[in-house]
Amino acid sequence: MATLAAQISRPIPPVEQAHGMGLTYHRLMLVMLLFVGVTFVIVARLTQLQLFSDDAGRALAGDPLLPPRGDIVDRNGVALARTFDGWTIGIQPQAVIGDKRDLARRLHDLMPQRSAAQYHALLNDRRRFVYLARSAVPEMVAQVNALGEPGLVFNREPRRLYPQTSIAGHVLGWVDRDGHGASGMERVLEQRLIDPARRGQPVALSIDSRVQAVLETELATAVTTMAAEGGTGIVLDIHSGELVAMASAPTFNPNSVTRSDPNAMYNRATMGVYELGSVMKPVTIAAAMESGVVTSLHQRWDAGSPVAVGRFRISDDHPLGRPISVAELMVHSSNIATARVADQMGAERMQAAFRALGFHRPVEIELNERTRPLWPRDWGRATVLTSGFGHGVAITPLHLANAYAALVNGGILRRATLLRVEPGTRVPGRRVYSAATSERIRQLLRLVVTHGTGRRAEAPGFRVGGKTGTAEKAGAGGYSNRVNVSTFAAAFPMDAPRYVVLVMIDAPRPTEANSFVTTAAYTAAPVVSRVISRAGPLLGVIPSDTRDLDTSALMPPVETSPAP
Amino acid sequence: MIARGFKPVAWVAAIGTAALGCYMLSLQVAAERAELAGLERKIISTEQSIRSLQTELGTRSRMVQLQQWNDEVLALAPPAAGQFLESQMVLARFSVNVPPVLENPAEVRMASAEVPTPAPVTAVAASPPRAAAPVAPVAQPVVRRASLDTTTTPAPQTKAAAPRARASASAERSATQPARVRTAVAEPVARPPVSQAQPTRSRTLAATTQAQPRVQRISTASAEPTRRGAATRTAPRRGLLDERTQRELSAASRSERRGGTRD
Repeated sequence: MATLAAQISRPIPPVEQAHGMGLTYHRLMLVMLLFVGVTFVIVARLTQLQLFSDDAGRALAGDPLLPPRGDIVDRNGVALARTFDGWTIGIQPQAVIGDKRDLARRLHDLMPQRSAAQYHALLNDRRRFVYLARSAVPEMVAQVNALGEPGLVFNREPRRLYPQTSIAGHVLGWVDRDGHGASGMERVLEQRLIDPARRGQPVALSIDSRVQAVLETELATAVTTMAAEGGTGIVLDIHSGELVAMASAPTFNPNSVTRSDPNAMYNRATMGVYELGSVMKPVTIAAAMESGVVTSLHQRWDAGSPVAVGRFRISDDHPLGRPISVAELMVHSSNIATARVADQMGAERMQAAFRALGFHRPVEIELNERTRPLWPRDWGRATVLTSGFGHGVAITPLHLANAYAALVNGGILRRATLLRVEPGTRVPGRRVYSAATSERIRQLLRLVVTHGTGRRAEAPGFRVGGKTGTAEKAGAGGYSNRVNVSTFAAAFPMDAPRYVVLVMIDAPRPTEANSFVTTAAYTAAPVVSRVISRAGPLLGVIPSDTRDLDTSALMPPVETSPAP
Repeated sequence: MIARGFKPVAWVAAIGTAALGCYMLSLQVAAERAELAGLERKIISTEQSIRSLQTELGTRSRMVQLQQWNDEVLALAPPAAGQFLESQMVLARFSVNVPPVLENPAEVRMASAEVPTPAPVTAVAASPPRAAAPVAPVAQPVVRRASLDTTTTPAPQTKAAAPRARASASAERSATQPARVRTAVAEPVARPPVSQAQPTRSRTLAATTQAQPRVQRISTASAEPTRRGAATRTAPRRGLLDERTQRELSAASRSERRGGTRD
């Protein structure tokens, strides 16, 4: 049985053996397939990487042409603010291998803003990385690189550049170290400028950099030659409310804010509140025409004797000593007659007229740098009378420019804006004067320039109309009759007005440039004349000897003043 | 037999070639892609450098800088009202070369006077202008008188002006023949002699001009009919800047100086 069993068991081993071999083959085959499969997977992956790897990494990087912060351009597309990759020079103090004292001295030779001792202190700093210069020009980078110190690190980092330097600095503002808008339009447009969807498209301001340059140059010249504290200038499109130029002197350079005079950053056009003086007379007269106080050009107002209000008297510099018409009131800039007009108007109607122009609240503009006007709490008779010729109510120059735009554009008050308005857009506004009143005021303003105190503002061929305003500046000890705020507010061309130009010189001193007279006729008016004759053609206003506004209707009641 | 033996080899070779072809193709596609990507990177870097160059250009040509250059060197002033023209009418005012309408018939009249007597005219044409001047009063006063008629009224004496003065007395005679004039101009047959006579005359005038600059404008006026008359096509313009062009230019510049406000 055992043998049988053995016999039986005998043929089994080959079968088992064959079976075992087959199993081994199978296993081997399986392992081999596994290897082949893995190899195939690797090859396939490599092929895929080889073929499609180009697009894989790039999609994450985003559009390399998209600036980290949007550009700001002027109305003609000239760049006012741009971001580009600037060089930074840094150092890792631990990685410095050369002689630190020698390196510090050579760094000082190249970048003298720090002393050799300061550089040496920086090189021994515990920090891992220190900036040596955050805005370096490529030449400087090349020179520092030539020192051959491995511890020096050069990086590119986005920097905000204002190519026009100081031009429109007050409008643009600046960005802080981290690239966030800190003031001006940079601050107002912050969200728009960093929005990835929109920052590829530049933001167009209403500013025309050529006109802005003209205004700033002329203003700076006047402020310097007249040794004034400062000045401001505004060019405003009266039909759209766009500020074509807005300047404040002294100016600063937004490229290097930290090195600029903090005083210069004060934007007088929107932050300075002034009692602007006689430039307010057209506002008073227009309101009187609207409310029926002034009904006719032949109506006469007594300018003979000073008006007594409480303890002080309102008088004229050059008393006329007779009743005068409204046209003469404007031409001679009579305070007495204006006070009488304001007296008849009364507190209620005068306040309403000023409120309609927004003189009681901060001026409407995008900028955050605005100041609330000084609105009198008590509207007694003295306030009413003096407010008629621009004292008692202190407003910003931009308030006044806006009011003049409404005076000459047919009576519509519009919001001033610093953003470009597409030509042809109808900008909504609020009617504050009738068209007839506006027409009459235009004639009066033109008359002031042709026959009155504003003769020096005439720019040949540009049909300028405007009003002088010389206010006594309120100081610590009350009003000073030697320190003036001299303003000239003008519009041109008067036969079809398009732009308001306002120039204010703050505290001019009597110098040769103003013939030793600090009134507006000798300080601000010539600046207006030069700005208009230079900027007029740029703004598309063609000078003409053959066109003018017809002021003959006003002529009979006028006796012209002697040439200033 | 041999073929069958080589069959697998052929297969292997064919498959190998095909695989190699496929591989080469994919390699080429990959190369093209890489090149395209490189080009795109280059475009981007070029655009970036365009942007930075634009920024640099804008910074260098900033308004403050231009103003400084203008103050120091260029001294450009804004345009004045007189430098703008409002319409074509105003532009036409500047043209001083157009003669008054009344001068034309007078000139034509003179031309017709030559037609009836062709023989003497050709004689004049043949002779040089200098020579013609002395001959003229003797042979045929008609030609001379007519051509210088319009020119001379205030003109003083030069050698060229001498015959002119004598001739002016009989100016009325030539005025009696306006009817014939028109036929002469219309007739092509009459043209050759006239056209030959014309250059002669204009050259005489040129001599006058050289001798005496004061007559310049008047001669300009009378030279005009020459251009308008039958001789237009044959009268040669001597060069790009011949005398008439120069006169036109100087007259234009003079009028511009008078019209503009800057000097």
